[in-house]
Amino acid sequence: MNHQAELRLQAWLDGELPPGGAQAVAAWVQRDPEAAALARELGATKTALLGNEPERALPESREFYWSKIERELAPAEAPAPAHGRPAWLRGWVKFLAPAGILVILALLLFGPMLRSHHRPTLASTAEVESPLDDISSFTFDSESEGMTVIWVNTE
Amino acid sequence: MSHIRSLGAGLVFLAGLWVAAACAGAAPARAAGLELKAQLVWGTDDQKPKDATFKELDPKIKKKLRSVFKWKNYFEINARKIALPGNGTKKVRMSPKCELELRLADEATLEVKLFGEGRWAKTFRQSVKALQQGQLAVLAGDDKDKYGDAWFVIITAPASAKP
Repeated sequence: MNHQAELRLQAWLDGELPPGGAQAVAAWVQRDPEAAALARELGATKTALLGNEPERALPESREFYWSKIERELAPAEAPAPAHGRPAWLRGWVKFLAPAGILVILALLLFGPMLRSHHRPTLASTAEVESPLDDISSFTFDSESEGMTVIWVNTE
Repeated sequence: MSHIRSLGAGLVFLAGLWVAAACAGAAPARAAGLELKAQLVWGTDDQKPKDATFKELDPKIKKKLRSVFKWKNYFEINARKIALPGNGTKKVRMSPKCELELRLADEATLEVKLFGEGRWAKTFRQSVKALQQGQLAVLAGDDKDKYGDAWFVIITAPASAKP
């Protein structure tokens, strides 16, 4: 007997087959000794399990056990208590909080750009570009002498 | 629902304000011109040639150069006063082989291009404020005509001149 047939037999015993299918399996069990033997075995197992399921005793009464679970769930479902702010203030807070975040983001994004344009650097660091490959340079800052030197090397 | 609309409107308004402020801040300010002095200097261990018309370099600048460089003597070959406009570029010929092109990139930054023998050799940018506080901007290199000597282009900004 293949596995599919065994599963079909189990489904018949559990009452999960439609009427037509159940009749077909019943007829099959009637005529096939192997199927009948398996049906008896599965039925006996089912009866034994149903009648001998161990009872798990709770450490406390059922009502107390479930009330604990209910208490754990209750705060997550309850609405947040009112903080006592007036309604008009709550409206402003809802507006100002995201606006404040936007302001901070803008400062972070544009702050360095504004600083670089409005606060001239005192450092004498010079930016150097060398358009020609055969000309190189190195830059030297002498803070003690107040001098920035760009030494140009021509090859 | 109405408070969500007002919240959205408020956010859009704030965002617009900040973008406008950032653009205004980011846009380069119109610079107002700068007075500069450019000096072409020869650095050498030799004495000044007898028939040369070179001038002695300012002692303060000479002292600074001596502190940094190895040469004993520094002679001013040429000096040019430059009135740099706020907008626009100024070209200055320091010698037949050396030309400078100066402009104010913005009110805080001086941009100098060095042309050697007609070729654009180098560009550098310097803080205007640093120059006005006495900082020297020095371009230098080996003298091709005389081994062991050096040339210097020293750019300074008088402290009284303001952009």
